Amino acid sequence: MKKNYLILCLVLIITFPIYSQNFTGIRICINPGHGGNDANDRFIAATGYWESEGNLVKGLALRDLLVPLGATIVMTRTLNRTEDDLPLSQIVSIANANNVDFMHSIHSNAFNGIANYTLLLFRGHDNTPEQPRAKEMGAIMASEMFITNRTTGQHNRGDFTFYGNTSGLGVLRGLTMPGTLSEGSFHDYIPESFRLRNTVYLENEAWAMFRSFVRFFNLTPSTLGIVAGVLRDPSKLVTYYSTPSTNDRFLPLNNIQVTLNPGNRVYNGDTFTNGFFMFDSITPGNYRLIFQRDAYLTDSVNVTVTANQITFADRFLLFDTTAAPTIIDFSPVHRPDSVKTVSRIVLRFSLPMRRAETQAAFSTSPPSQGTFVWSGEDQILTYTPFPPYERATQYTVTLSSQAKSIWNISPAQNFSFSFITKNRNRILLERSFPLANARDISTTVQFKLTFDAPIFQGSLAGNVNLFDASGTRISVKNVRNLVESGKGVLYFEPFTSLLNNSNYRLALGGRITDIDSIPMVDSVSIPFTTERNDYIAGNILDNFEDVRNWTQPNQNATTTGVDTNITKFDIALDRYFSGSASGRITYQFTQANNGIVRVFNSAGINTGSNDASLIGIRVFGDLSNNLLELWYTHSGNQNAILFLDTLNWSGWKLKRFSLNQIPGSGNRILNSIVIRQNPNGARTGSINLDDYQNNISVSIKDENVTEISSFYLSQNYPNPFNPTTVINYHIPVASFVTLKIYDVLGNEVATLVNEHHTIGKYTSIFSANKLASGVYIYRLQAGEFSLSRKLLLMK
Amino acid sequence: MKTFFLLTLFFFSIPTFSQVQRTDGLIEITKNLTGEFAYPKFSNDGNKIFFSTPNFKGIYQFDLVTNKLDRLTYDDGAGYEFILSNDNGTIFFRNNRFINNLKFSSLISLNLKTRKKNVIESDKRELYPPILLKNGNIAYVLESKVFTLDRNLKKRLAKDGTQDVFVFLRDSKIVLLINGVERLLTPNGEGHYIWPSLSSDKTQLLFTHAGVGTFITDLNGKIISNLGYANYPRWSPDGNWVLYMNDKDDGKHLLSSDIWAISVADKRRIQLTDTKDQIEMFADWSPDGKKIVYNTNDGKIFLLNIENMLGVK
Repeated sequence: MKKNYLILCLVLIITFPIYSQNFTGIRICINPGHGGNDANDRFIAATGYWESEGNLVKGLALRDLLVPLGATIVMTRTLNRTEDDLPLSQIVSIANANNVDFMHSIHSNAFNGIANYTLLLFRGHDNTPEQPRAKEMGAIMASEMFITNRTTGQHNRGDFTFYGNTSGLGVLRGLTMPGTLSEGSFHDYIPESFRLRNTVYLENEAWAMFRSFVRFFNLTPSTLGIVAGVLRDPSKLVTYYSTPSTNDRFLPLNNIQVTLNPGNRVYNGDTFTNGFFMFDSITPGNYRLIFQRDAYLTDSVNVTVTANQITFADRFLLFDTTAAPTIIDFSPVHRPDSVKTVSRIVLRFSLPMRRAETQAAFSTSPPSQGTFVWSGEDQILTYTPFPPYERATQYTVTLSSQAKSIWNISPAQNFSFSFITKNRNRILLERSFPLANARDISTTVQFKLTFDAPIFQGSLAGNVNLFDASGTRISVKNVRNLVESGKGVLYFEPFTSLLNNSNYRLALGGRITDIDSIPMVDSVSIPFTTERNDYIAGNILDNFEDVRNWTQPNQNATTTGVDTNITKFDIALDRYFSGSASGRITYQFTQANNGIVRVFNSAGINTGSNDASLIGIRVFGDLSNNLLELWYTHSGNQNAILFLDTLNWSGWKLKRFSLNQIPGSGNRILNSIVIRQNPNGARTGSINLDDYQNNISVSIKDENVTEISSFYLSQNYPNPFNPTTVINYHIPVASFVTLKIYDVLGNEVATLVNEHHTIGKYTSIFSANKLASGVYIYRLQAGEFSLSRKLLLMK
Repeated sequence: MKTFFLLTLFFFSIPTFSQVQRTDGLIEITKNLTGEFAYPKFSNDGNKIFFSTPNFKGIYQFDLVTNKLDRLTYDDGAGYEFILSNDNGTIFFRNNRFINNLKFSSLISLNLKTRKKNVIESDKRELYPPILLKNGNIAYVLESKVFTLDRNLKKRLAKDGTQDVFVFLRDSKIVLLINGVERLLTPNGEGHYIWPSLSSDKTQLLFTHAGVGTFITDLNGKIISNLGYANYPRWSPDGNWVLYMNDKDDGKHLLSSDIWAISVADKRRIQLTDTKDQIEMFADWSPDGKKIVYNTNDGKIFLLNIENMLGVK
């Protein structure tokens, strides 16, 4: 009997035509709403669902159901790129130009994360549709989608009424045929959003639209049926909102396997937390569904499939609590030269595990340090090493049989696997500007850090800091993270000019990583001192606020060996020393040597004839190491070249020289600014120029000293510290100064300063080798003035 | 019901307009009308403006000389790409009927003097919009075949000696019929081609490639100019400008749109409308190129003098 039944079913499957409807001659335009993965394409971050993607899957599935039956289908898009997101006027024009019988736009809805009903919209008011056939179709499709998606309700509305205006939906305005727009369900209701990530769930909605067109065009209903359902774990509740008293409150299962017999059709589920399965095109009759999932008890149920209908078979699967846990997946899997020294170790278990016992059973050989994170209902253990593994080393990961499932069952045996790390576990800071302990640095310095690999932008936050001598963090701007010749190069500048003749410190955290997640590990500190300000501005001869008589490099025959598309002189508004603009020379040499960029001034700038005059020009350097020259003419129209400097700085600097350094005599006329290629220099660069001047006066005073008008005691840095720390302080009037350390009980434990000071800034270093960890107080006393702060020693 | 009564009263009373609003050369044609209207275009002599409703139901006529308006027909679909004969005496349009929810179209001529209708093709499944030829004949596509009508409405296949160039769409591709010979064009490859039209000298083709942009090509489909985002493009009568709308939406609702013109020679763009509370769309030129008509998304028709905007003298 059983055998006969099976044969009968197979005969039915083979002999019945899969489709009995005939759409020949019917023309339908299908518009999968939106397009691309852009801001207006409705992304649900909690589930990773894009409405634009779901709409397209539904639309393509509907097309694939209709075309074999003879329908002519006009798809407004078949891909999901930004350019596929057509303007509504174009979509309407496509439907009209193709003279279709019906136009349908596919969407899903969003509101408050709670609602989940089915909505169909036609053009017009609820009771006065512009096309009565559109309302007719809306009612049919609302009914079919409501049944299929099992939403909380169905509505068929006129868009004028629904939106409260007569503009309505743009995609329905201007159609010369009936048209509808479906919102099959709500993609911001999280359980539904997870289901919408399942391809066969989307195909199921396509079947609902297919049945709707069959009914609308009065065709013969399908002789085949569908069986579908959701598998869930009744012991686990979801953590997101779900409709009360519905099965949505229970966690759907991933990686399910469902078998339909007879026919032995197998469905393998996805990992998107929906537990959904579906079999379509089933000959009506009695079937058995078998449900399987790792670590769960196998279940089955008998179902009866009916033509042109969906039979639902939701089930709860129960854990097999007596089973020993196994590792069903792990990573990293070793392939030659494939495992990074920062690769995470991931173990996926067949059952939820006890965290403490399982972590204790985990080990690597050689030993490593790292952190554990559990996910996937305690079935996934992720181990992140820090510091990275050793380079080019074989590691063996072992999980001993001491691990336990949450039902206190241990694995039958130890589990282990091995991998070999790549030969790299640190990124290197190859160069920096400024160098550590550099002096005479511009107060508008552009920092340049060169690493041996491109840097991951996300790792920079909080790991690149500029501090002043008091430990106060200085804001930076114009941060650019670039890749130059395969290296990672980081540029940035202080937000406002630094103080002259002051100490600063650039601090790089060890968590800076490259794009392969390889960290720097060791922090780097780059102390430097800014230049003094010891001049008084002279007469400005050119403020570079406009081009004036400067000409383009390619207009002068001396310019050679450059890319003329890139090399130019212009006025820059984004960088200047004074006023609102500066001159800028941008260049690129095309050869290894002998390149010259000459920016010629057709009128010349008379710099005077006083040999004692101090001349200067502000230059924002580019660290290129190329050579900067000024070319002059002097009496007798003779040419003279002044080598100004090697371009080995960044930030604004005043480049000064005496007029008598310019060869010749009489008036010196500046006629050109020249960049001469250095064979060891960079081939590309850009410098800015401002305030060419003469008659500069030099002051011997240190303006920072004169600016000290009050006592100041900095917070020590670093703090906490071990064992040394730095304390800065200012003395505004000459006085006898003491700087002493006390414990919290008031006992003096150290004297750092005990002497007379003149006006100025001072630094003291405190070494606490012989003290115990704890809070201490340091106190500055200068005459009547005193100030105290706390410091923390941690050994 | 009240609205229906007012509309009915209006349609049968054929009101005269004497109080059109004029501000800086802008006239609202539909100021005193109830209902929503769209897709305006001029008669060949520039004395009349024809328009329809947002869903192309019916054709209306506004006489710029007498300020009279009347409804010419209330046929379903009539407003979609109807044409006017060379002598401005007859309009040709389609009427749509749905039988078992399948679309059937008829081709109808309407004499504007006698208001007499003549059904040229009745209830056809694949009947496409009529096209005006330079000799005054009418062409149309029926079930992939191109037919022409002479002035006596005598029908024959277009390939029988039609000495003209015209363009239409088939399956989202551009079809040029050059002296009776078809040329299928997809200048940018696959996709949907819409809004095709020929320049007045019939040497250049203007069209929009959906999702890609609007282009001008020669008659071999070689791209001469990429005009970028420019929907519903319309040649100026002298062929020097293209009128278009820059409609923007959020995937469901229109958000904004203005009317622009772009110079064919140097792609200079000039914004012709700039309102915060109006969405201007579907513009067309007057025959002398000095005015444009367009509709707003709330169903008003405007006539705008652009003589000073483009420097057209």
